[in-house]
Amino acid sequence: MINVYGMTANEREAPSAYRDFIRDEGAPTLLQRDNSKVQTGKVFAEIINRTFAVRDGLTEPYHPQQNPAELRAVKWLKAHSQVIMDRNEIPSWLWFLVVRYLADLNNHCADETLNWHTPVEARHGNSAFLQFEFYEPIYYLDLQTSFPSLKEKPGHWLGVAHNVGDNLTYRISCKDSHQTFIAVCYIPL
Amino acid sequence: MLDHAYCLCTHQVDSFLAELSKDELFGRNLRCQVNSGTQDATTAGHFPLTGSLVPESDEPLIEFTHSMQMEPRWYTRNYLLEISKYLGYRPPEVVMHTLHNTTQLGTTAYVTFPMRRHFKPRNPQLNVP
Repeated sequence: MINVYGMTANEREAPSAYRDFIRDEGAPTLLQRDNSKVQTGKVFAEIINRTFAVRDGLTEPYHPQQNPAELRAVKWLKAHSQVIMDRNEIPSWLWFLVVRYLADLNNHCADETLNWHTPVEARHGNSAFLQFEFYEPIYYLDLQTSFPSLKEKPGHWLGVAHNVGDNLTYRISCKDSHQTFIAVCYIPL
Repeated sequence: MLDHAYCLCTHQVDSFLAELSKDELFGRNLRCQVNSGTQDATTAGHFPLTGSLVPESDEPLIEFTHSMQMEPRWYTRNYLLEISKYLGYRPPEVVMHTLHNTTQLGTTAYVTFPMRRHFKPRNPQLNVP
């Protein structure tokens, strides 16, 4: 299962992302990571891992292949996000949402190593199915439009908005202003 | 009037459920109709010509029964390829197993036009944790 958390270029946000992961998925039994200063620092090793009783696992220097997150997740996400962006003509500023969409796809597709169950089912028990295409042109309901103008506006589908409202709530991009926001209903064009 | 002859203790129900495997809980071991014969639901997706889970292009359609809903589903290779664009262009075998092992309960077909606000969830069954 792949979880994606956004960070700026500042590496000091890495402990916060690690805490977010623990909030979502629970504390892991082992944290295998490389020897970066942040991930071997006091916050990671002493505060968070000691608090949640997480074992430490480090790679050998200059051996990134020993890090499973790097080998199986980051490399796959980078390669496939470029494929999705090329095929659907997605602007490059949406790269992070493409990566999150790919992580969702990976978590909801059957995996042979899990006896063809989905990673979400193996982790959380539910077995929902996602069937959307990223950057799919749609009509969405603009609630702020006043009477004479039309309420249906063209936009693009940008992924599922987790932890917002009911299930099947989505991120939508306005076609004209390129603003992203949350919407519930939409109609594929 | 409560008929005690048909009552079970809670620990009997719990022990019965604990003995069942996951496939039995989901009904994947039930017999289902595949063309003219019956077959286990776990192997109902195999195609007779190649024995593969993924249909070949000229292979006839096979009924693929979902274990929970027991509704017949028909998958062709073209359908799997069509669906694969929604799953990141995964191979047809992965798409086939994903369709078989997931619930497809939610839909966006309930959207009215002209569009309006909805105060009740369109797919309330998906909000069950």
